[in-house]
Amino acid sequence: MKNIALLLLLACALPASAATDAELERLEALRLAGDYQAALEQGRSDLEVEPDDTRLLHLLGELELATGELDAAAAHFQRIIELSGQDTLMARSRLAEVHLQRGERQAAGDLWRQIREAYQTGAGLGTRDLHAVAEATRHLGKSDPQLFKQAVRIFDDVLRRDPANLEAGIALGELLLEKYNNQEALQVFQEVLSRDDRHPRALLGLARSQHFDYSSEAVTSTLKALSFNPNLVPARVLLARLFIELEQFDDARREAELALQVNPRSLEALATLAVIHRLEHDQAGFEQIEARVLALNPDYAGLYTLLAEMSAQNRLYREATGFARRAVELDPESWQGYGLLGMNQLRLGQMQAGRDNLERSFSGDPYNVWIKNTLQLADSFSDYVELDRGSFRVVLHGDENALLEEYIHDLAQQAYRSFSARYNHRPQLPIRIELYPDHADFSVRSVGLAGVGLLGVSFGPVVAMDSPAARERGTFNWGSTLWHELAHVFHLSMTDNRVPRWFSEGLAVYEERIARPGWGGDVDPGFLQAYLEGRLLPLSQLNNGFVRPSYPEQIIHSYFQASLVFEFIEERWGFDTIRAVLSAFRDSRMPDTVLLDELQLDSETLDAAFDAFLEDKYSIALQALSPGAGAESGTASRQLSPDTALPDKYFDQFRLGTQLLEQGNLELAELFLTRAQQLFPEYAGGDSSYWLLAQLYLKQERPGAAQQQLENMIAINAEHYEAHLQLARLRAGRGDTEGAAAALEAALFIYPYDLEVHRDLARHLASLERWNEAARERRAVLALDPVDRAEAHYQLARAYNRADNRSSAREQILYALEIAPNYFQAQELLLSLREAANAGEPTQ
Amino acid sequence: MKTVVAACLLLLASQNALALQHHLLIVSGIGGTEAYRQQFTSQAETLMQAALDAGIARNNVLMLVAESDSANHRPADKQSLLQAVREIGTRAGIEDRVFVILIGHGNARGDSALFNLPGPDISADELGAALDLLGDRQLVVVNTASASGPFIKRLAAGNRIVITATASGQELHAPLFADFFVSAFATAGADRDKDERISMLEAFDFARLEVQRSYDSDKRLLTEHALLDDNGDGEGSLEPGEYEVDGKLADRVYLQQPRSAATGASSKLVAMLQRKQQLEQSIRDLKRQRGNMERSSYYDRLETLLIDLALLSREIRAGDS
Repeated sequence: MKNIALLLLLACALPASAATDAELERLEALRLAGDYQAALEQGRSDLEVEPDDTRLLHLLGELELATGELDAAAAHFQRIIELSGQDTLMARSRLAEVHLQRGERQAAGDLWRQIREAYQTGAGLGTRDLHAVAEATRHLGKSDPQLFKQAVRIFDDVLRRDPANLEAGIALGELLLEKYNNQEALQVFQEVLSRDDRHPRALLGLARSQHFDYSSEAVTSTLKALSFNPNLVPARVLLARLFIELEQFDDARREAELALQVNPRSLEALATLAVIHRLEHDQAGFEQIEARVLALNPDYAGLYTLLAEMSAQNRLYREATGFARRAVELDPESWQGYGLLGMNQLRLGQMQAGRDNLERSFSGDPYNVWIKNTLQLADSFSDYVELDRGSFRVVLHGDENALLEEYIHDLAQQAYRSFSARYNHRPQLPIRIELYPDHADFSVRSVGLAGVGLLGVSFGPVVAMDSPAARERGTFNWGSTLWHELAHVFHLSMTDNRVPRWFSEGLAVYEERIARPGWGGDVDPGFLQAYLEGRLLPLSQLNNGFVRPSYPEQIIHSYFQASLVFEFIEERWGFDTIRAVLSAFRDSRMPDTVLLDELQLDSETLDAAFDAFLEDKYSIALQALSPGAGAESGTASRQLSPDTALPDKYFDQFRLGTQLLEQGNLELAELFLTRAQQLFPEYAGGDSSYWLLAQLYLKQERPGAAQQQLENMIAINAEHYEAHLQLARLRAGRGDTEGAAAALEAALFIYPYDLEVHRDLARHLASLERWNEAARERRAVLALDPVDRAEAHYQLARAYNRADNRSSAREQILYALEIAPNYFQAQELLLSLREAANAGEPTQ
Repeated sequence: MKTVVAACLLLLASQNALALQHHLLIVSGIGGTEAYRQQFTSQAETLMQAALDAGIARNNVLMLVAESDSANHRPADKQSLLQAVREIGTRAGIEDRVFVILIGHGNARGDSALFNLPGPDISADELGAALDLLGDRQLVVVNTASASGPFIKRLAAGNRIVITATASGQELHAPLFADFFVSAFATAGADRDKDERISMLEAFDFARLEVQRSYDSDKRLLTEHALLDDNGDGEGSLEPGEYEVDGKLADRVYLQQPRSAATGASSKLVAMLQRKQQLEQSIRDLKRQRGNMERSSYYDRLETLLIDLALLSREIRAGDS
């Protein structure tokens, strides 16, 4: 019904003509519903009767455009212009669109300039004229970005004069979105939809806006648009691209082909199909589509910007730079092309070239917030220190380089050795590792925007991640994150970046989990409840959990679930199978089936086998978490005694244990928390029975029991900073210096900025005669800028001396005495060093 | 061994310094809550013990504690505080050094500020007027309270070191400064030059840097900025130093009570101590020339001087023992 209202408004806005309103309404209704052929047949028939009816000519022109009949469309718009009546500006605008699709940029530009001239010299323009002027201004903005602002003002003018002009509203929304102002674009689309909630293009605009915000609602809105117009080509194309993001290429191809059935000359549908061929390694198919696109429009840079964009989304950064380069060769004003080229060069570690291209992009499109943010970040690169050592180039902020570089490099080297042996593969060197102390900077580095929730990202030869300073203490284990990202380096290198996201993420988390006890994700009640409620995704759809989660915890659940898949595969088939799958991804045209082929299973069988694995692994916990009779909700801790028998439900036992602990009834609390732990021994979160029991035992002055709880907890979850420190104290108190040192070393992977931790660790290592490591800790103390620098230099000199590094010992002892010339112990060490040097012996 | 060095230093000090006595007044203000009461009392007691360990005579230490359960402490009300200052004025010699340390809460009142006590609070003006009665005696005043910044302007004068935990009356959150300032005298870590004494500058720097570290560690914006003034201009410096606008006097004033000179020192020991002073001066001179020297030449020359100094110090210690 609302579409009819639109037509009436449209009819009022258009100049009078001979065709009846009823006929035009019917044609427009057919067009909006996507019944283009019926509308064309009827319209062509009507045109024979009324060959100069401008409204009819417009409608036919739009229908021919929608179906790719560019010559016919051009003829209709040209005819309107020749009639020299009203509405010729809109006809010029639409004719320019035809030229643009053919790659006739000069002709299109001439028409846009004519429209602008009419605007600047004429008066009394109607809203459709102004709409045409706004469109022309928008296109000319490519060469003069200030014109975009003017285009928005003109659209605003149109809508002020005619608030019900839905076409202008949609066009304004599209312009705002094109210029990255999604907040206002969304408002505009919502305003249009408040007037007509079934308008296919407005729904498409909403979907694009949602996609801009990474919302899973984009799919719903696109499907809704297609439900009202199944032949809306741009909606089919968007749907195809959403499927590509999920790496569901069959679904994507189906949508692109449906679009091409409607409009065989749709450049964006063909470009999308080209992307699919490319991502599926179908070079012949890709070249055929590429040739088809270039035959239709030899200057169509959009093919290559789309290829670059989608390649980058699929982690094919090298290919992305190649395509982006083609885009800017075809169109020197492809600011998007320069942006994509620059961003992907930065991802490949080509820092200066990347920056230069971003600056080119920004000069032509200063509204691009991604480019702007990245250029601002690039300006701060001078604050960072790059250090090449072995296989790595480590890039750290100058404020924390001295402290972190050694730890980063040592762990990276360990990971490199481990992965090289495990995967029998050596990636391209050096691997660049960047750490950002400000999460916003890391976020910009990874996606161009602040606020992304990632901890690290691997682009292949370049890893970027939060430094431990970027996160709250105790919320982030930089060691396991670096291990994870370096695992990606190997996966991407082995597959030429052609590994599905869920596979790479799951395998990287699995690598974390087996690298050190407690690293990587671990199971929590929410994960098993999601399994029990059927919310975990089948393996064939696991990518959705990463790309478009349907509930807030789904990303975390998907990471852990995917890691379990690899535990399951290695246990059942061995790691050789995982290596074989990685190799197969590199060359496969059918990534969806690679794993199944290698395992020789169908999708359903694999899902069933994995479910059985998971149910076996967590059988006790699943039982304890499953719905069923629990304690009565009113069961209070004061009613309990050691003999109270409660059902074996985890939450009941845990809740009562916690309450008892809070009330100070330690004996009973221990009983219920222990039962909870027996029911779900795999859960070791910060609020788990392990931590609570450890605190309880400390209150009871039972250090041995507390230590056992902390050790069990850390073996599962090594991210709890305080747990490491407590464990170190307990071990040291019981004479286990080696254990205390190990606990403190583990704590450094979470928070390396605590001076006392480094001092304590240095003391433990010294008493273990591990002098090189003690020296490392003393260097860390100095890097943390202690007040007593003389003491710090002296202690470092002492460690160097005991490690037989006499020249460094001399250097440090001079630094100590330079500050405090009368420092007695330092004087003695200086004399001792000199005497040893004279005697040619090591000192003690 | 520690006493040897201190005694040696004193041998070369002036006769006036040898007679100098330290007087310490510690005021633990009203806490408001049990936690703060305990915190302030504990800090005051720690400081008092550190002062006694540093050789200040027990009779020269006065401690006023608000809300105290102990009969050992005088109450910390305004009248008692003013009375204590008067007592010190009566007792202290003209060359003596007086330390007044305020631990507690404070608040701003217009351009001035108050230190909170049971009953009427004491303002910067009132404390300033009381301290003025101490005349030209060298005075160290430390106000570790919130909003203590305005005390600097009122209390600053020649031959005085004034330290406040905050830079203004607007810094109202309970500062961490007192905890670290007291720790500077009670624990290791503040003695930068390893002379086994803590100067006021060392204590201030220790507290300032540890406060900064604590805020950084908790990812909190620093809401307290301690000041030190020792040139009498009332401006106060955030980062004073031996070569800065403020800091020269604070670098030379220690909480430690100077001990009486050792008597009967041999002429050989006196000569060695004079030689030691010369070496120390040579090291200072060399450090000043560092910017104009090749790095390796600088450290080679420094090493030579340091070895001479170390050998001489070893000889002095051996002679003493």
